[in-house]
Amino acid sequence: MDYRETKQLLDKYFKGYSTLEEEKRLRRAMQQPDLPAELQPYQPLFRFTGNLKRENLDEGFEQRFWRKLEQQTKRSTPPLTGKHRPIYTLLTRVAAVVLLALAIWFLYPEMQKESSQSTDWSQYEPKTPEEAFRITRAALLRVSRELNEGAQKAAEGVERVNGE
Amino acid sequence: MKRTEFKKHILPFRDKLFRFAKSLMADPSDAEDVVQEVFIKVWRQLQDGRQIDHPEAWCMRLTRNLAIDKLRSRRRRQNGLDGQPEPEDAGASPHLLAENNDTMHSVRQALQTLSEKQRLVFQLRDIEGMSYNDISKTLSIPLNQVKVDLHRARNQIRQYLLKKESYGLPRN
Repeated sequence: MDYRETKQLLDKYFKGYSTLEEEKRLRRAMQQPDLPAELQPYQPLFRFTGNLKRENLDEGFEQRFWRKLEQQTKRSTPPLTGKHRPIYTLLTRVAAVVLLALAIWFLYPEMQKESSQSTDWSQYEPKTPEEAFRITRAALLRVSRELNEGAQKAAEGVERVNGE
Repeated sequence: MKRTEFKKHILPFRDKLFRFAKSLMADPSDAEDVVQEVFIKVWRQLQDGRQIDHPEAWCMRLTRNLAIDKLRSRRRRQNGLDGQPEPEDAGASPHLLAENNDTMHSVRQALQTLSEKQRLVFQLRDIEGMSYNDISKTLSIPLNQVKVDLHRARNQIRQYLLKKESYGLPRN
């Protein structure tokens, strides 16, 4: 690249109009040893950026990174965050519903069996008219006795109130 | 994502991320720590099934955020003392010890006169060769702001170098 072109590119560079490709060419041109005096003050800038560009991590970095990653992964189980949490919550809910359905499936027939057994009243039905009469009379006598006891207690209460 | 894919698509950014982290942290071992943490984060996010449209800009953004977080926490630990090294302190780093060229040192001094944003824009464009668009995504600033910051950064360095050329030393 000749001096004039380099100068033009340098102007564009400082005005901020240069493209990445032009900047590459300029960087190469500005690192040449025999620069015109007018351009020399800017040479350190391009040497400096060129030097920094060569500043790299050493070869062992990748190995150190994988080792650190493995150590961190072993040390801590990742917390339930982000996308994991809804999945776990959903699975827990599904498990709970399945458990409930299974419990109902097994227990409901047993409950039905029990309820049908307890409602079999036919064995208590009176077999003869005499037996029916006897049962009815006993029930009525019992009702009558309860009523008499009630009336007597009420009369005693009224007397106590009047006495005071 | 498998290891081989990670090695192919993500790990090649390591040097770029390292230089970027170092421009913020100064200490190379701190910068390497940041790069490792960035890659661990990226690995985990990819394992979680996250889709990344622009992995390079994404890694650079993570690097910037992590480096800034580390600098802030260091600053807090130092009870309010400014954790960022002064330009003279930066001279003690291994890189700068090797770089004993006076003219190189003057460019570094010129960079120290820039604002942080201008320095980062300059670094990403003139050292890493990134497009304006990628710089805008990495630093989360508008495209026009990238152009303005870069223009100002380059001109400020230019003025500094011209003054040094004229007077031997720049006037502060």
